[in-house]
Amino acid sequence: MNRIGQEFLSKILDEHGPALVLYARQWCDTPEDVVQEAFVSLLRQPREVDNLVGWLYRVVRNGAINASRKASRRFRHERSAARQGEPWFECRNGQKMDAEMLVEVMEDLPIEQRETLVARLWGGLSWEEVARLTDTSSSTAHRRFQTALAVLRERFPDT
Amino acid sequence: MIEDDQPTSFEARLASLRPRSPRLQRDHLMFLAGQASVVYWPRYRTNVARPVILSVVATMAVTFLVLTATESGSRIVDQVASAATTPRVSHDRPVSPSQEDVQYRFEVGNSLGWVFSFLVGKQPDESDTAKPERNLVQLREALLKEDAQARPFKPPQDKHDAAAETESSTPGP
Repeated sequence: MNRIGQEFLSKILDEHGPALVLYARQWCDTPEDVVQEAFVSLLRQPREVDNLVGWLYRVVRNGAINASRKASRRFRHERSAARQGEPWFECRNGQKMDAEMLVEVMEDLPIEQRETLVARLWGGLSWEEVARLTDTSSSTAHRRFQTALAVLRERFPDT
Repeated sequence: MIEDDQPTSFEARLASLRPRSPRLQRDHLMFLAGQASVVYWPRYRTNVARPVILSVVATMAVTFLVLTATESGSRIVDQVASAATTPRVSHDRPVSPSQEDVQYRFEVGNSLGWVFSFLVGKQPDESDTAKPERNLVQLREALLKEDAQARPFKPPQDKHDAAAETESSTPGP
């Protein structure tokens, strides 16, 4: 039986909501809708899911890919403009430069490296969970992560 | 297997950037969370019970339809029994036993009749009062009675008469 109470749901939303939206943003322009649907789907599960966080990332990934396919058919020409208008990170205490540069660099990365980076760095998933999420081995996920970090190090100053 | 090692300073710097807070409809999610904890079991029961009830009703309807279409108006003869009537007894002259046999047909009704009898708790024969002679014994009695009415019993009048009648009927050498 699904026993997700309101307090538990609120905690999950606070802890994983932002990272899930950032993760969905790697594919589509409507990440909040995708995450909302994922939580609705979670609440409609008849039984308690194993590895809740991993399940959420999997559902968000599938939903974001589907949304991306629909969007690419309908509004391909509007996507780039919409993407530039949405900040990915909260900017505070002089982090605005870092945030803007990070978004620029990440947009140039392949999607496999981007999703690995987000799931590991901001999602806090283990290597095993990242590998299961991206349908690869742990070593492949680790290699993608290191490659993405190497690109970011080159582009970021003072590191 | 890759170990979950400690993040480097560069990773920590990147991780310090917090993703933007999502504009999710928290109220709607909270409402669904409360609803899911209450509505789950009745919804589950309904989902299970409805197909079962529908399948049972559909099966019964199809069964009755098939039986009605295939067996309406027909009677199934379960057994045919031959019952010989008793020899006709006469004191006038010996008569050979009757070769007349009566065929008796045991009708058990069709399947719908059995279904109906099962529902009302009666056997088809009990519900059918139009043919009481179905019972073999009753049939014999009815035939005997009919025979007796057709040939009334005539007692012999005299011993002489009987002997004379016997002699006259016997051809001479």
